[in-house]
Amino acid sequence: MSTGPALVPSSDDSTSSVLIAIKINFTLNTPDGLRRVIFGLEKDTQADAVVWKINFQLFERDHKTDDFGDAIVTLDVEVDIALHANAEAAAQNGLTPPQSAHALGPASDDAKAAQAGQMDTGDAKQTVQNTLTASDSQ
Amino acid sequence: MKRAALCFVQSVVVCVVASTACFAQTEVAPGKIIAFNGCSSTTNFETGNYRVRSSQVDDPFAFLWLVKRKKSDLSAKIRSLVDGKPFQYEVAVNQALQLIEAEKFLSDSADVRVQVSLEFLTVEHCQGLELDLVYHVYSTQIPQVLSGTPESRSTEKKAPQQTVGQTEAGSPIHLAPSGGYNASERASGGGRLEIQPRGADWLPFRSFTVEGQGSSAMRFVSAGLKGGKDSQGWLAHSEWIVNYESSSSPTNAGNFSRGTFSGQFSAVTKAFANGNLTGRFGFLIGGGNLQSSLQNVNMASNTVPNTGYFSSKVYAGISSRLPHNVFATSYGLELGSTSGTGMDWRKHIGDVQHEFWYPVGDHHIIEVESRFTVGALEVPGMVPVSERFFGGGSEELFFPGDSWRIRANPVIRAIPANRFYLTADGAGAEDFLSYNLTAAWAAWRKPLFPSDLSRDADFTRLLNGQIHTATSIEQNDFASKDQHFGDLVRRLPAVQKDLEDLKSVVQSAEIASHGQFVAEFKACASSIGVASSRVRSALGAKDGMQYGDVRALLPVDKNEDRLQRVLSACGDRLNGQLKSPEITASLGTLDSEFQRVQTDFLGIDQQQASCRATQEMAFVHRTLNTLIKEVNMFSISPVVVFDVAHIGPAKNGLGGTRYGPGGGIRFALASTVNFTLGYAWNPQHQPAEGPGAMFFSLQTRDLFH
Repeated sequence: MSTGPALVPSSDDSTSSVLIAIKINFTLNTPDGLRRVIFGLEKDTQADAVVWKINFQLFERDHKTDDFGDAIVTLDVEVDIALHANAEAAAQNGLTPPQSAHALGPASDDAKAAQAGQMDTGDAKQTVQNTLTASDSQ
Repeated sequence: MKRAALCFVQSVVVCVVASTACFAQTEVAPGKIIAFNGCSSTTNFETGNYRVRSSQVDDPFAFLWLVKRKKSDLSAKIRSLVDGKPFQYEVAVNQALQLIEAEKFLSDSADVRVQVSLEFLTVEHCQGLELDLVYHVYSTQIPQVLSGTPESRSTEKKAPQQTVGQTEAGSPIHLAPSGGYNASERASGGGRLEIQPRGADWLPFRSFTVEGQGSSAMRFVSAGLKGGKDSQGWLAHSEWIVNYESSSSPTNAGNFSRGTFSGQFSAVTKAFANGNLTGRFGFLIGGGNLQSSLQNVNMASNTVPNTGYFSSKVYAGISSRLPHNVFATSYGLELGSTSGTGMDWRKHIGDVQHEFWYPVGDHHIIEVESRFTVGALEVPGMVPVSERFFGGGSEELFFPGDSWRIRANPVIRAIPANRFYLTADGAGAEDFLSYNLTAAWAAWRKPLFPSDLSRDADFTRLLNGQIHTATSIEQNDFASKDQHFGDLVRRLPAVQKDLEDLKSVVQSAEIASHGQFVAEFKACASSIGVASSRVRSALGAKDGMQYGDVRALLPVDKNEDRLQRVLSACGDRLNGQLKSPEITASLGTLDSEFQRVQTDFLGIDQQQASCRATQEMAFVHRTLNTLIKEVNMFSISPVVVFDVAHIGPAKNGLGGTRYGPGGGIRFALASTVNFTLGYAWNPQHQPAEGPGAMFFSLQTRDLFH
């Protein structure tokens, strides 16, 4: 069970204001402007129950002057309880270099492969979720 | 005694609250106490049978017309969804947040590297089984280029929405009226119209601007085409402008008229010196005609009243932004000719600008703006009289455009525009210096971001998290530009070939194995497939995206580590039992390439990439901090001014030094209107200059925002 900082002033257990949901979307554009990843983190709090969700969307286009249009891939992942602390840290502190590299690289590739039927959707969701644990191992 | 009384009051409150909680039949965790009329983070508001009394949407940029309209539409939708109804998490959270997402408060721009949108929902005023819902919406985008120039500091105060990318995607037309008054030019009015066609990024010019200002005594009109480009190299931003300008400005002895056509290029470098400095440079080539109707004044013998002319200008400067200071220094050189051949005059301009601001109390900002400008004119031939220096309360710029303002005349607010010009040589100075000090204190103000929010440590951390994400992206890009990464990428085709060879050898071995080691063969083939996929993606990508795919091949990414997985699945687990010499040889080749790739990756100077990314984002970090913690929605500030100006050559009261103390008031309403009104005295005045002057300048909001 994760109980992270409140993000609003004076939201201890008995106040006039209680936070019950956070949604933060990181939209990452590649330098060539041809690929966009939206890595969304959502925290819902129902009493003592906390649920973290990842909303992953991938957009691609052939030319920078084209519109991105609709997402070519959309994946919604409910974050494992074991990774709630990672989700909280990412929402609070932003994405680290390994996390942003993972989101733009393997997570996007696998999400796209799942959409094309070349990969199991569950595996792709796992790769997307791995964004939260991506770190430099040395 | 006092402590005993306090304990008694606390006991009563606990009893009242406990009975209220029981009556409300909410699910309260044991040991939790709900404040009277308050909400508890441990309450399940759905099973507790709460109803939604009211809902509201909170966005600090709602002062913008389009944001306000979106907020209004959104509020209406959310009200119809939740108000007066039983609280349900699915409706209040999921459905309402989807409505917010659909509104798209940020423009859809791929020119920024990172956009962050944050929405959070709070429950407030839980009372009598009713509650209020507040949806907070904060959206930011981190631009690729955000310079530390005084001009950008000015923008963040007057139009803070631009700093965080809250410009409207649906508004290609920008119109901003302006106005002013000084004794020479009298009350003037005008405006600026800019048209930026959408989807015209491929054109060399992306905007068309017309600007004008007029009064019974002056007129100014300019029209220009402007293009620009951001880049990842050392030149962060470059822009080019083709401009036509026509003007007539008064002195007390006649008017100047000017018609000029020019082309210019200017550029801003990436931040350097630990992210503390940016450089700027540019050049301009132009020509036209300069006319004057000065009467009853002497003119120097090397001066002509009317002439055609050509000139070229070069300019360079550096600027810096620290947490509470911006500093800029610029130098400009103009080479002019009245004949088109040879050089008739050289003009040197030095301009130093400093602004300091500091909050004294919550958002009560003290601002001190200083500007020191010097100029000198060398005349080997003939110079148009209007190219000499004419001082007063109006600023002339060294070149057109508003992204870099180099002042080119002596400014003293105590003297009407163009009235400080009589020197020992005649009309117009050959050298000058001026110093202008303006100090203001925001006595009355309303913060742009609510004070309790901007002071909140968690919110500050979240904002810093946005910067951190943007810095991460930059760091990966810089790492991908490292020479070792380039070497690594050149090895990828060899890695791809090694994987294909291994796959082929394993397939042959599987056929020959007659159904043995099925699971091991499957795991090996799967690992080769994923690794090959990562290599293909890496070869088809570039920059930061390529970096992510390459990283996934190596042990540095412990979740992926795809090449090591191939070696493990096909080597240890499969070939450890199969003992195939062909697979052993193929794995050996792949392992050798893997070691070389690994060595290349470890050679990337991550520390330098991190430092460069941090430097790159330093200005952004400081700017956003200022915006959140110091910028006001509106403010009224008493103002003190003090000017000193000198023109030469000076003799017998002609030319010389003037001082101009004064005061006034400044009113600023973010993105809507800014004006400063005041009066400055000229205690040592000459007859043409007057004893003092009122100064007034007005800028209004973009009417289409």
